[in-house]
Amino acid sequence: MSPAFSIPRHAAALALLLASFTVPASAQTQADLFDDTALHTVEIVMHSRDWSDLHANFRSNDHYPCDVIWNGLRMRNVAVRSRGNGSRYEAKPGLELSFDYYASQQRFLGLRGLVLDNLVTDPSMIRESTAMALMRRVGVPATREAPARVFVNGAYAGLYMMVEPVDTVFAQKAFEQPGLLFEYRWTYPFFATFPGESLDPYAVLFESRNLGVHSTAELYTPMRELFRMINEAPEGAFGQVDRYLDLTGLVRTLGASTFMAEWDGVFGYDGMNNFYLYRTGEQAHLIPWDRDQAFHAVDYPLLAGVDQNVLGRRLLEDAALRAAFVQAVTEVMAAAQSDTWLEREFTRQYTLIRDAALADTFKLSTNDQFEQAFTELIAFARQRPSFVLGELAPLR
Amino acid sequence: MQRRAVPRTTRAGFGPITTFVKKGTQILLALLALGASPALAQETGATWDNRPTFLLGDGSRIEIHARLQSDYLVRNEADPDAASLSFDDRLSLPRKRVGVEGMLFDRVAFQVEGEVGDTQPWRDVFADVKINRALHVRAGRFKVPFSLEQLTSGTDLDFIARASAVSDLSPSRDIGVMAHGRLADRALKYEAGVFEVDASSRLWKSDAVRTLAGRVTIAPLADGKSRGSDALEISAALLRTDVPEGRGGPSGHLVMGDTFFRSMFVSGTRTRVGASVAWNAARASLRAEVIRSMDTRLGQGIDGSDLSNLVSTGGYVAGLWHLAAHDGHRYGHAPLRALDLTARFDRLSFGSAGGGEAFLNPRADHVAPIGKDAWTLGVNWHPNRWVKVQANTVREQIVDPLALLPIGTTPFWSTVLRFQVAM
Repeated sequence: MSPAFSIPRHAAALALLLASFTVPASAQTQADLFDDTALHTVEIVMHSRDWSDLHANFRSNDHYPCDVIWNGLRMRNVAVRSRGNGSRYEAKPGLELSFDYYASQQRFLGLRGLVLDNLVTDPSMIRESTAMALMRRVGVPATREAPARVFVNGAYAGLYMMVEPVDTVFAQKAFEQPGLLFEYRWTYPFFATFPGESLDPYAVLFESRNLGVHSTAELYTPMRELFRMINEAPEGAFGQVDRYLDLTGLVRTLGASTFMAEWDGVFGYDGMNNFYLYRTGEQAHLIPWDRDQAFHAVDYPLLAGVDQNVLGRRLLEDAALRAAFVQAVTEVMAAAQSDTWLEREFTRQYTLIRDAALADTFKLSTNDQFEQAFTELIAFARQRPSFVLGELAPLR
Repeated sequence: MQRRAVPRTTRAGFGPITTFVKKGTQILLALLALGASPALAQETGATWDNRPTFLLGDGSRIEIHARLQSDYLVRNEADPDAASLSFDDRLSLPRKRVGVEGMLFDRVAFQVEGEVGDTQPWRDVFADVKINRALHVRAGRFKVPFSLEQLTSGTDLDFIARASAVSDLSPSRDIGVMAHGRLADRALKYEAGVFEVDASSRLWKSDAVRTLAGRVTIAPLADGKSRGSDALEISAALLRTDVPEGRGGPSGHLVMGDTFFRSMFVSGTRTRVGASVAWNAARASLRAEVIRSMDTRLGQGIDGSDLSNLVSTGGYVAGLWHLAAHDGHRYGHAPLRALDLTARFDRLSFGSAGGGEAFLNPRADHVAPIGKDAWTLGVNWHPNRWVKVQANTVREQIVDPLALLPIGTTPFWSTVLRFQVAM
């Protein structure tokens, strides 16, 4: 057996962590990485065959080893894979960088991973980053994002958005306590009906994103009780659901999502989609994800999809929760309108990425579509508030 | 040498069920014999020699084999859901095999065996021509001569699962041609051949991957008039295999199948060396084996550079004590018949000689040391010559000094019961 087997585990792990950087990391922080006032550059070094295989097998989640260079920091021993659902695209694959895939304790600036969003489903390329910025502005725990030109083995691979991943690091920081994280996986149009007594359907819908070993019962028994309560809470007592789902946080998130005309979220047009649940104790907290369909249309109904969804319908039937929802929408609208924040944010981000976007020959949309999409976002920022005010009137 | 846990020849029957099976088989074979041609009738016949056997004349016979193994998972701490598994989910049938073997004209031995219900049904399919005692030539699909435990039939293993070093580092069956025989008054046994890896998909094609194999066994103790007793056998083996570019390096598994070390990218050649010793006495036996595998990784760095060799090492020491022994052809007293206690320690580890930081990514130059130690304790009970009941409990512990794996190094236990019927 190797003599290295006698190295104390913690000292060795620390040495490995420190040795992973060619430049001391202390000068850089997560705030620097997600500084969205700058256009970043990310370089990936990987075996040329792996890059070819990743393209060829872009629908697979196979991991490939690579080095990642950002702002003078070289992170070794990183895993990269193709990612996304509807955004999987061979010419410009979405990428997920995992810093802990090959070494469970390895972190980069405290992060376990980093998403490189390929932006192919949004011609403007700034919908999601703006949506997340607005949600953070109103106190919703949303991921940080910053644009980056990505180079692979020295060749420009396109304009990507660096996205802070929703993982246990993010969730624990957002909710300040340890818990269990689940990613909702769209598998069929699901409208928050009760999936049944078996735990299997819950494991299909909610993928465990936790470290360590957990039994199915530990993971999904509270999930079953959540959906039982959503469906079976007595009339006039829907607030009981709060035991299993943080309704205050949910209403705040829904307020932001509905104002932004998000049509592929919790009350999505084809069932629930694009969110995580983070459970601390019995109570789960909703974390929004993937807002590249935000700002869909100025006149997109505020309550689109709510009636179809058991959670949405019963939530708005409760007078107190309906009032809270109206308040949440009003606050988001105010935040967007304050000093024309939303319009200025669209313009700032557009200006920042424009040259890199136009040079990105791998993007799905044309340069004309990119310019047109920006024009539509400006129109949204100017006209959406008055439309939403009209939608809110009958709810008050 | 493949040691049989159950002697082949028989004495008195083992009760009414056995008698019924024997009689029934004899009647069946007699009916079949009646249908044979008159010319063969005088030299042919059917008998029961632990299994249905057709006698086809001097030096020719065909035996029918069948074996069934059923496992019941009692405990698996590596699976957090194991405790809630249903009875059906705990049961499995790892082997459901039928086959024939025999001898033609006292010159050509053959075997055909398949797994029932498997998409790749064929196991051993070969013919073995005896030129003389010193030279036999075998061709077909059969086990590559390398590991003592791998060469031991799954029916005859002293443990339910092979040691990790064997199952993860030793080849099993491939298509090939092999010369083998015994020399020096049977004291020296040799096997040498060439095999085609994954031949079912690449046989005779230009990208065929071949293994050169050689194994030598010395049996220095006397057995009656000649040497070559199986009381002590010492073996050494060498394999050299082409390794095409790809993620085809060895991987490491827990006894229940979970992977703790994933394959690395390799390219070039794989060289495996092994050595074993087997000591068999009337009341006990000991076996030990070491295996070392070295894979070249030409051009497999993330920048296309050559990487240091991937080195995989493992081995085991196993002992068996016949608590209630069968002495030669005689079994012990009822109700135990034959009862063995077994114990084994095995180790499997991976690493490389590369310098710099040690990583676990599949293109790491310096592969971080990762390994697994396992203790297995077991009981084997032979109520009769066809049935074996085994119980094994295994304590496994990951060796991960750099704390790279998420599963940690806390030992965990698994227990499996096996019921086997073989004839």
